Amino acid sequence: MAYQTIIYDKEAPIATITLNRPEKLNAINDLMLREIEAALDEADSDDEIRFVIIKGAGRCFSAGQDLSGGGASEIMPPDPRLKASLTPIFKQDAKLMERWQHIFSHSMLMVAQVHGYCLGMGCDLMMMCRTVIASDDAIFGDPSVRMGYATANPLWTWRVGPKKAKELLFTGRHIDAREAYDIGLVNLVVPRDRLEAEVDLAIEAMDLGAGGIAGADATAGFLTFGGAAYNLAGLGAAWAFAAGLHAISAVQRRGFAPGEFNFWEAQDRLGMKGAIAERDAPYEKLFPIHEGGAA
Amino acid sequence: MTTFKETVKWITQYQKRQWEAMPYEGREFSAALYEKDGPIARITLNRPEKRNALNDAMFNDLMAGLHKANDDSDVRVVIIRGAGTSFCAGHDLSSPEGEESPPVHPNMAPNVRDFYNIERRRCNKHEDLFNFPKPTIAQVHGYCIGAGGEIQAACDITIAAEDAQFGIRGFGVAPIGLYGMNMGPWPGASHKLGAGKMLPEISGKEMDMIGTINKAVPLEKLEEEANKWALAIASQPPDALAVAKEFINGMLDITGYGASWRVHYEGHVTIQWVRFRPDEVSFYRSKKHGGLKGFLEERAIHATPKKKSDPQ
Repeated sequence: MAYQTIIYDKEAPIATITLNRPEKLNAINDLMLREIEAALDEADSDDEIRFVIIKGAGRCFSAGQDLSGGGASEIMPPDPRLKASLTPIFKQDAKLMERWQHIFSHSMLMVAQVHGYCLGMGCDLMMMCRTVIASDDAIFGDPSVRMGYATANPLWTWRVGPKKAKELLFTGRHIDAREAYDIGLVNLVVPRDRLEAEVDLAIEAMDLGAGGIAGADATAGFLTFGGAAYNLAGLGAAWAFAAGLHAISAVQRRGFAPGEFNFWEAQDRLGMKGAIAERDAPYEKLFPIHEGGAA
Repeated sequence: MTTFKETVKWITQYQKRQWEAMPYEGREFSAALYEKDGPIARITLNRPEKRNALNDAMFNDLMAGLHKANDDSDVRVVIIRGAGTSFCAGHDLSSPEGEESPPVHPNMAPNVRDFYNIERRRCNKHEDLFNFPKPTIAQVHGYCIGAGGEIQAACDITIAAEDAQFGIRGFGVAPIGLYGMNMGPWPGASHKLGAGKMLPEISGKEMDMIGTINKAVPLEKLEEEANKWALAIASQPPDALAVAKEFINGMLDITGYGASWRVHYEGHVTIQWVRFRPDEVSFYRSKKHGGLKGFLEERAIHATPKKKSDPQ
């Protein structure tokens, strides 16, 4: 299958998905998410593939949703000023959470290889992977709240626990790889120039365990049905809950209080980069480290 | 015949949360104080001579303060802190008969049904703080023991002094409920601490290290840091914050937080019938003979580790 926004490489037993919009810091749009889904399905139906690496081309893993407007109507709420009717928003959010749940439920061992920015939906994608290996220059965070949206990815609480999830999602602050390791968001932090080698090593180690010792079928069985454990602990219900909250989050944004930061208005006035800078400016004073101009 | 309006009013009454049921108009706050500073409301636990041990008066003032903060649309975030040397040293064990603060005196609740009512009411206060619609920050220094730990755990964010002392020193009751849920099943890694270090006491710095609180800073920087976080949160769109909080708390309820409150007060009810072995510390027996001080001394001998080990 020919992909436009990603590169799919197969070198059995590993498939590599490279997010490939480097000029846009690998911002995720509708097409890219659809292609990621297709590539994962392709890998899942390929008996030779047991591992999937997800990584980004260029300077970073992914700076998040594509905010530049156009081509992101399936993954972004509509411009709140349009006051679009609600039914499509509800349906879209339900659909989007089903799609994430499907991505999470694949039976390959998925490894995120993260460098540079991993923000917003980049974090969503990263958290889908059971193993996350990051270089020491990686930066994580979800600034959605600064635009008036609540993040609704159920995996946050699973990955980092309640206090840290609230900290990150209430302030939108970004954290470096070391802090991400400390709070349990990533498995391993390595120097930038060692990143690929360390991912290969980790996969080799997992392959010894998963393929050679336990047997590939046993591992596939564990991964396929292991998801049931998450679902019994509540994750199955959580996706449905998240869809509803995601919809509320989009719908409540239809009005702005006087003086409240309006990202869309700022974008018309200053362009995307300027709007993001204006969005993050008040927080640079409060959380001076790693507050950059990334989307 | 009941009108629609009356029915709605009745339903609202029925569903009232604990802080909604506590009036603040004309109230003289004393056991906990309320002040407003721009978008921040501060509720200060104020029984410094008792290290802010929690009794009914203090819990009620805290609830009334939340009620006031909720009704004031200028208030975007609530800071809860303690006056004097400590945040909160736990339930006031010297509470006289008639107080609902545990240990509930056996004379007050001679049967399980009464115990359930009392315990459920008090647990609901913690739970309603947890689900308070605006973001909450606990600013913790000094002792943060037992119920004090529950209060900070129910807040969204906890900023603590590095030398704050967290812990649970129950009288036979296990660390369950929100505190236990925050400590136990989440990543944050008990492996970062040496074995046996979780109880009875760990410092703010160690709590930060295991990710159970958000940040520990030197005591002299505590207020500044808490205010910084409050302003960072207060400047976010309030509706988005409300959805984010509802989302995360809902997510936690799905994983069992909601049920853990029930487990918590069930545990409190059960403890009323625990039989202590002769070599164990029994609150009632010990208090009867040596008073509260005698109990605390006897318990300290049993509960303090011989040697404080360093974090690994």
